[in-house]
Amino acid sequence: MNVLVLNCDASRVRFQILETDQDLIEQDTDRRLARGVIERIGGQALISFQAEGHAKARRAESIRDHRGAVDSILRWIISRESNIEGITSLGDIHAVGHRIVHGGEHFRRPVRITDDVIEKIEDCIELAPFHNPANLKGIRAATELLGDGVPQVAVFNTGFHSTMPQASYLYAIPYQLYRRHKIRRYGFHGTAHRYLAYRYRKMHGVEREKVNIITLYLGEGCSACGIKEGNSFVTSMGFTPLEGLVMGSRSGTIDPSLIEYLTVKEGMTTSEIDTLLHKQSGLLGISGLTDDMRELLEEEEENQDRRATLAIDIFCRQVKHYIGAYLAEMGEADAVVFSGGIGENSPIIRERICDGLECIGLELDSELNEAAHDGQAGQITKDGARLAGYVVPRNEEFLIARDTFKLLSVS
Amino acid sequence: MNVLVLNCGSSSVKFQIVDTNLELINEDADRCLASGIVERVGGQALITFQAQGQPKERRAEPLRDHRAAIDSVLRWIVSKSANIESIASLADIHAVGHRVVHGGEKFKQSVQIDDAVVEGIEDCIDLAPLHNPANLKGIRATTELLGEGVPQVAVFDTSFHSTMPQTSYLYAIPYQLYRRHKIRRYGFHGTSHRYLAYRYRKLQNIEPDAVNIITLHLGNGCSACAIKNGQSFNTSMGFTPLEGLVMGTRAGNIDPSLIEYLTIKEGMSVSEVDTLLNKQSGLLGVSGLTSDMRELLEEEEENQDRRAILAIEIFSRRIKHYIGAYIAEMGGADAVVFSGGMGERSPQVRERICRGLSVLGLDLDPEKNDKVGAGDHGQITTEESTLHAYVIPTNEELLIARDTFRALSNIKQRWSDYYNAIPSDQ
Repeated sequence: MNVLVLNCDASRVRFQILETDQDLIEQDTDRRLARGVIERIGGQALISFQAEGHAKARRAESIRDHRGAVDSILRWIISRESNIEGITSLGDIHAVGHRIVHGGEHFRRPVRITDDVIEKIEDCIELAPFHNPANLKGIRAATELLGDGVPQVAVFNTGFHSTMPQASYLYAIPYQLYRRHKIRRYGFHGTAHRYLAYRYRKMHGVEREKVNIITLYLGEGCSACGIKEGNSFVTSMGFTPLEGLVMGSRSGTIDPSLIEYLTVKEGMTTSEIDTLLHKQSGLLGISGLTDDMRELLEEEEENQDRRATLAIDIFCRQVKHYIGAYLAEMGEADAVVFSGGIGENSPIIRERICDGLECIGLELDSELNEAAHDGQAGQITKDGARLAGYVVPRNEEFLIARDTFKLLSVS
Repeated sequence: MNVLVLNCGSSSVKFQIVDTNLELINEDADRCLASGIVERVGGQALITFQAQGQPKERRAEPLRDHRAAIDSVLRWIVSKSANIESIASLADIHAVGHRVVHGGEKFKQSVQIDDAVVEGIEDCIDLAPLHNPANLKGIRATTELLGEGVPQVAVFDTSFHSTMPQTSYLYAIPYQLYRRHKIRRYGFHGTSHRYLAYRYRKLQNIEPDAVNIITLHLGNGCSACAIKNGQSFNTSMGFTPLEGLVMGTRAGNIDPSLIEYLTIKEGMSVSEVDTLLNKQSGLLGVSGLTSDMRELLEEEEENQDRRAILAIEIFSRRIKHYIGAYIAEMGGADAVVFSGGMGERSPQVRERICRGLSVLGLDLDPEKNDKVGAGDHGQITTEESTLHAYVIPTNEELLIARDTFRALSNIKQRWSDYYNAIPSDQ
């Protein structure tokens, strides 16, 4: 089965085409056939397409909306130039899997998309006003362009965390606010963390129930997940993706009283403050330079920029904070798994995070750590470390494709 | 030296009289001569006074303001009926030590109060609008009632944490907000955490810079402190006492986006949301019953109240979170110290918190834990533990009295023992 996996943000569409089926799943040999991204939808969009084993094809094109973007993707996919193995017409796209950010309490597992499902995703817009609308545009575009006959599946970023116990997801605020408004910790990057748990258990050949690890997804957004017996037990993002770790431009957790103080001191509205915390904080806020970790590391090395160092140090400290915290909250963990752009590609950051964690059994092996980057997975701790460390490149699309296949084969 | 220690809240005045001097400090034999509390200042106040070794005296009396309350305290202190050893007149009060909540970045140590200091404390009102004003009322009332001649010292809740590095106190928000408005983590309960570090090193008989512990002050307000080489390295309260742990009525950490969401969904102002988070949340918010841990434990035992159980569980879980987090942030610790009302008086709460912490080397010994009651101190972990846990009753007033003595006497040679390497000519 060829599955088109779509990931639609406010002004960007990312996609992959994966081939998966029962045999491929059993042998763990599902294949990516192509991938790409269209950025700056709504104006002069930047397009980057790549069939597996071929060079990237880049171009700019004025694309008005998500429908236009998905259309552009589909046209490329079936074109001769794209050179995608096994795909010569739209009929070769057997199903579409959509990454949907917020499933609320309603969607705990992937679901086949129906009108009812769409309505319920719309209901969650309140909880994810920046994300779910774009996800829905992707669904509509795919329906219009591929037709009602092509089955579509929604896989939710929140779904993996639906196993958290109440002591993990309730805030210590009046309980009726949970009852009345569903205010609680939801957690995000669920599919990403679920993939890491899957890949960890494959690496070790263990049953799902034996997976007790702390996964760190450190990319544009950053989150930590405490996985106990294979299930999400607690995670750092909360009601929204703002909570928890320091990120590129997000503050993570701060003293809640700060919001009122800022309305008074800076004369801002709460909405403006929310924007400040989402878009002007994090690494960008501290450094005053950039939200990009790579650039900060360069500034630190080349110019000894004090605030670049501060931003990196504060970032690493917060990751340490959550590693220790989740070890204590779960009462056990066998490993820490690094993933995401920063987690996969920056041995220096991993080293700074792990520095001092020998006290909880995590003994980094410098050579192994240095070797793990740019797609290289592997162990980064000394053999026999009580708390092992691994790098596993992210691959949510892999799981979304499998979820899509599995759901459709059952029905 | 007889030091009157004053702790003025918005509608209360707590006090102790402590006899301290260099010999008593060296022998750890300072004495509390009397203590008491005046509550509901501004109306029909409830007064409880007790001289050491005497029964408590209780009464009610209309007291209009802090000045009247302190006046009432002073009149009792010098009265014959109070029977306080060595205090026969106001002249026997040699100095006054005031607990001041917020010292901002200005006050890194306890300091003798003069006009400049009062102005400095006033400057910090912005940062602590609910607390510093009451502290100032106490200072003014004392000056009026005891006279300019009696020296007074301010001891700040924040100053112990002034040793935190930037990576502990800066939030990941635009840096200019720190420069412009001094927005940063300050931390509170500083005198309590400092006392616990002191008492821990005395019990272990080690040097101040060998103290690597996590102290938990679990009272009305709750905070955790990571103490590294004897100094505050990080702490859970932040810009205000709202951040961090779950408390009696405070939420502790939440997703910052919740504030805006609540203004929309509940039509509240930001100020009303802040009040909800400070006064209606925490144990009270989750349980819908009470902010009192003892009552929640009773509800759990007698009625298996689901939300009482949830409140206790969420409370314990958050503390576990910080114990693990601080071990990682510090690169290791030797002990966890429980203190404050809940920490000192509730073996059950300690047990809940310590459950599952064997992964960090902390193995609770249930028998030892149960034996440590109110006012006792002791180790509550098995001998084999690599991360020990202790109960140490806090005693901020002792430290306030000693700081007062030292600030006045300028006893520099013993300074490092108690201040843990803060620059000595201050």
